[in-house]
Amino acid sequence: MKLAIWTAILVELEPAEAVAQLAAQGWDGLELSTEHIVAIEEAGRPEEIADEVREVLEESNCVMPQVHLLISANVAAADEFERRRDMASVRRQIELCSRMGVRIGVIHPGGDQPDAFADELAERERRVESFRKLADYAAQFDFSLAIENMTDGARDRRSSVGQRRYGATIEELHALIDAIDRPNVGICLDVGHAHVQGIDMAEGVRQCGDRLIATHIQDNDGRSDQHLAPIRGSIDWTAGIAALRETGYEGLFNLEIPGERGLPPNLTLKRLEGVLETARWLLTQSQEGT
Amino acid sequence: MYIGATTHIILDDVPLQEVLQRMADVGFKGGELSLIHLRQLIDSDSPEAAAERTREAADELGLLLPQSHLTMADIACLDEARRETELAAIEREIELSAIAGVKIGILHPGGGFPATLAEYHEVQRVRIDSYSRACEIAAEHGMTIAIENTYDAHGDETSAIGRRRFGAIIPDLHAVIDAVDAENFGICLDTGHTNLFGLPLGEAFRQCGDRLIGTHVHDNNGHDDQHIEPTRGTIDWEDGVAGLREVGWDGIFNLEIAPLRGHPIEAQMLRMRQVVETARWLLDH
Repeated sequence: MKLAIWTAILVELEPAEAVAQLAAQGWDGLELSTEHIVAIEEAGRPEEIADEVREVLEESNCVMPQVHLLISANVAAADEFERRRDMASVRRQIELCSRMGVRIGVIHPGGDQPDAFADELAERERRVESFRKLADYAAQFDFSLAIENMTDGARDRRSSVGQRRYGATIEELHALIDAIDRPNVGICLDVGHAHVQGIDMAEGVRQCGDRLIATHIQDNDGRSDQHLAPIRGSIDWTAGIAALRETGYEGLFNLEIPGERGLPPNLTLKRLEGVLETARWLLTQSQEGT
Repeated sequence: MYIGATTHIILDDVPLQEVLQRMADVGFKGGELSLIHLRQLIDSDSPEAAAERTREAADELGLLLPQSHLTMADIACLDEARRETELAAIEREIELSAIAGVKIGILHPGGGFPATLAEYHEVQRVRIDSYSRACEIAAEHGMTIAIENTYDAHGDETSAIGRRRFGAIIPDLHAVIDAVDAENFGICLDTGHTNLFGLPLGEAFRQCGDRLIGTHVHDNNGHDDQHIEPTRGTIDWEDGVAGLREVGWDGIFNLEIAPLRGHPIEAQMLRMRQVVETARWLLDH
């Protein structure tokens, strides 16, 4: 398991610069953030920037096996224009990521919580169809999709499935992946989302089993999705990390902690020193315990 | 469609037959025999006779008693001994409900918050088994079982599926009914629970379709299960009543409220009259 952080902790910096700074700080791995892959995609010469990022990584001891694909992508959208546009963007991002050596793309299940249940069922079919297409496209680049668990909606949300949002339980992700039926589709477990949802990290990890191919590591108080650094919330990290080891997970222990942002980059990096040390201590402690 | 109320609308030591009389006096056309009153019948010296008297009283008043609320205990719990005790209680509740002229017994899905997925699936197996047995018992007495919708939790609960609770979405209820595959099994839609869960009422009734066989009608603020009168909370009743009509519901519009417990009976009567008037306006509007 490699201790990693998503690059948007330095969202103010250009992608290559953020990667360089974080690699220099001592992180073993990185997830290219959605902000940075979008910045690359929308740049004048995307391939050149992607190559620049790859060169920075090659000169470091840091790896970047995963990316957060377009965070707003709604592959289940009822609006065909929206769905096609997002799918096109995701495909382009996969191409660029492949150029940087990235092999796993985290993606949300999407959906609009329709008002009528018939529309909810239609949405589920579109979701499966879209993911099949994306998975087939990604396979050409030896690239896998990791579908991320979400949280249910706010108390005032109204829909044919109430406040529920598709993909907030691991069981739903398994059902989705079964339906997609492609070998290059797995799960990204966002442990903070699971915690808000009332799913213990350890139980969430065990439920993912060998489909777990990526993680979003973040903490919260169990009430709101705060994206804090580990041990700042109420997640049981000892049990959670033990479960990760039990399942034989070897991917990134990837911190996605926008709750720790808000400072200028130089101060953020200072703050990250402590976060890095704490996270390393958590992983080492659990290793010693086993 | 006719307006009714669960008989616990008045408690305060008022005997069941007097409750029925007062409900008829304020204009209710029917009611649900509450679990509290059902237990009173069971605990009486001569339960069968007490149930028979209830039926006679309702008949004389022209009051229909189509549904009763059976135990609220967890019939999907994994403790077999406890479950058997509850099923025995259900049998007795059904026997007396039938004597009282009731046709539908309402049960909650139960199941709690299983810690693992394996446990969750075992709970579902047990739930289906318990409902199958409840339906068999009910059939022997010419009754039907209704499974009631619940709502997701928002507290500190944890489980294999987090704070989600089985039975909050209507497809969960259909899944149990499909699995049990009994003719005498349908849905009791609780309008307040749909509001807590964020399910618009008209859509909820449409999702029940022709499996709707009972109603629990009450309102709330969308956050707490307040069981207050329709129009006092945030439910869109126009949408809800339209949904009821779309599915062709002609049964009881059963208010499950207790607005004035503890107040003088005259005040309760006054309030109940207003509640009936409001409900009538909602249905005629």
